[in-house]
Amino acid sequence: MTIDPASVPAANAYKILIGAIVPRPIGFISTISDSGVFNLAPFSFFNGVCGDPPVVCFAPNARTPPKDTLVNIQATGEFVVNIVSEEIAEQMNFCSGNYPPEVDEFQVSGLTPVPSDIIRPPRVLESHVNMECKALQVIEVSARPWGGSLVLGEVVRFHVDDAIIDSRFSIDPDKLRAIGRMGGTSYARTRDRFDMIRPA
Amino acid sequence: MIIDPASFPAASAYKILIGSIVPRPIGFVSTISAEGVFNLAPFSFFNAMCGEPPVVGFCPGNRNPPLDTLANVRATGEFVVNIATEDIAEAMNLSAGDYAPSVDEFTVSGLTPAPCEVVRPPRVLESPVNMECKLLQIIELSARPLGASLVLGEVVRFHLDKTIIDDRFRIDPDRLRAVGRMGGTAYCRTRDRFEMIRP
Repeated sequence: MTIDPASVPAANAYKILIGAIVPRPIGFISTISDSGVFNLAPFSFFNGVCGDPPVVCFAPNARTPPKDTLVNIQATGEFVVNIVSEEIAEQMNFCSGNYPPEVDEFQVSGLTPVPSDIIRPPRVLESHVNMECKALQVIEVSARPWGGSLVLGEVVRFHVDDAIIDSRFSIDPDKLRAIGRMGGTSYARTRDRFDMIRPA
Repeated sequence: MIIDPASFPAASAYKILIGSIVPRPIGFVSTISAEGVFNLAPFSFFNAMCGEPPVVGFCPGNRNPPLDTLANVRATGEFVVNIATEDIAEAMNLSAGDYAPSVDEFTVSGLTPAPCEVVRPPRVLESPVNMECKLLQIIELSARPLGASLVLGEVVRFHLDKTIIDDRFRIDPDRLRAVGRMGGTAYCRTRDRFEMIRP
């Protein structure tokens, strides 16, 4: 089956993207508004993009008015990426609803905001890994209804739970228990793994 | 443990990134050089970036000379994203070695190049999803040794094995059997799943 995305409704191309590009890591993003309201929302068009300096990116969908996360980053230039493990999956899901800007998703979800080291948005205490980020660039990829922006941010501090990392900076996936996003309403665990050594 | 990446070796921050941003989808990218040599290589700093138009992005790490994939995308403006599944995981891994530009990783891996509709690079026949892409933009994020570029491309054709998709464009993950990248030498399957309805 061959599909020219220009000839089908945008929702269909979107469904193919989210069903085929799996498993996607989840960037659970905390921000703060100009007026000091905390926001917390998950994004699965998210990944690392550069090792040195460490840079991450995520892609908020286009909305009218724009998503709180994007508005806050444009106002403050700062955000935190929190990693989502099995233990906080349901709390994360509470944060994916459409709430007005004055709603603090930390309260909605019951997750605990704790201060970051060098930026204003709080990090999620229950996440095993937090990355304090300063925005480098916001690229508007497309303003169409299923379009969005791309936010690039440099990680300026990592917070890593001592229980999941060793002295060589290797993270134990069985202690992290990260979850990934699949298509539809589905998520994947990361317990079912195998190893392959890259050829020399 | 609190880590200021500026005060640690770059490899440490990189290890934290790849160990914690998991599971990562794999963009198995095919390209063609200006001379016509096919190339095939996997990238896990990869994801969808936009729904309309459909846009994907992946991040070749810096090399000197540059990775063949990046050189080819620069020269031709085209690439194909092939989805990596359990069935072709070992073949994909064979293509991940550092080979000279003259080497065709289709030959190394035993995968089959099939023609595309609107771009010149071939797609991987054994992959149940191929996305023909035209280059939109290359963003050089950093020139440092562990730096990378971000390649953004618009999907101009999807090829889908019709056994994995229904008439409402939903892909069955148990038929796709995609694999994802973890830290170190680890990969994960996508069989162990659960559902959550958005509130």
